[in-house]
Amino acid sequence: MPATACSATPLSCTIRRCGRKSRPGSVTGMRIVQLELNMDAAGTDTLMDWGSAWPTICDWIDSDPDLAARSIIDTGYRYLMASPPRAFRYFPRDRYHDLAADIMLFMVRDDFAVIRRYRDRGRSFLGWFRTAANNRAIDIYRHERPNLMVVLEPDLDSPTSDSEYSDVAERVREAIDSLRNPLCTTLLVWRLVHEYTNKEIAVALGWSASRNAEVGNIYRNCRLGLIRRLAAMGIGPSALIN
Amino acid sequence: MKHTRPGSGVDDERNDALKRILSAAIARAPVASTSIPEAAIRAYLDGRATAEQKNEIRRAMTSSRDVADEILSHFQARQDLDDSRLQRRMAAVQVPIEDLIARMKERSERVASNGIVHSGVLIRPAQWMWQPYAGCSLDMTA
Repeated sequence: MPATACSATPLSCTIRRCGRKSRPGSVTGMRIVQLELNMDAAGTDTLMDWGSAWPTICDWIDSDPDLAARSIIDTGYRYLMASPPRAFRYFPRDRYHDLAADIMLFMVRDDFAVIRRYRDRGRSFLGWFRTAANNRAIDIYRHERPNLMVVLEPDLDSPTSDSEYSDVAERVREAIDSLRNPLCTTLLVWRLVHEYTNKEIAVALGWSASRNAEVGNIYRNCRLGLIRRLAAMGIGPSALIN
Repeated sequence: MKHTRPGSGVDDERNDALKRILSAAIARAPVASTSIPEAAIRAYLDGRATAEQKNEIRRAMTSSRDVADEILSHFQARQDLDDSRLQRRMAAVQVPIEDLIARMKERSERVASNGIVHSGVLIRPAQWMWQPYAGCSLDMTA
């Protein structure tokens, strides 16, 4: 049974690690030719390979590390520039090439230490790569601007010592819970706290990105509903702002 | 009739306030489980999740931005694979491949000559078992 299958019961699932030669015999001369051809196609065919749960490079990083490094850097760099992860938005456009270079070196350095952390769990390698690249960009941003961390990740876990503020927060939660549309909590938090765009919210909901206007309409209604409910509870803008 | 809209400054201020209060409110909400069975995640990504699975995952995405970002990345990667224009955009990118390979080798040699072993991995503050550089930790109790 192929080890990709984590769709069966979890306990029967074998999880392959990238570079563990768990698919012996798959690295052949034919594969080498194929990869070279793929690289000629500007990384796009290789990108389709990355759409699988077990891309060819997972076999290659042990059997032919030089070729694997070239393939990973070439495809990953092109992909990051063509479809930048969301954290790139925190940087000016003229930094994108530097970011892509930094991220790709990070991926392949120290004998592919990062890539080797990839586990085949039946999801696409490309999704994992995109997440890792996004997180690396956030790490770079934080390193460069430690004082702005709050912009990227509001502190959700630290309770305030201010009991009044705590009381307001509790009532706000009740107000959110009372909103009729069950998507309101999700939309309000994703828009205001996670700072997702309407298009990103549509995608994260599993909808088509073209439903962004619909997301915008629902969000506006939720926000308005929340403000009205808060006002009815006597929580006005001043309580919100102070 | 022309409507008068509040100045953007007022709106921004109120958004900031809402953001802060929402952050505080969800911090006091019962913490959603961030250890989600892999099967539920894949079902969500494949658009065949049950209502209960959808709710569970969206709650986790609301509690944890790391979880939300990772789910979003998977969806976006899938959209990219279906995007016929991406190929053209990728082909147009100039990759400084030789320079990057040289920098990679230079680092390897430096590390080898210094006898320093680096993990090469920045582990992010964990909110969830589903670590970005490590893939998820399958919930074996599911």
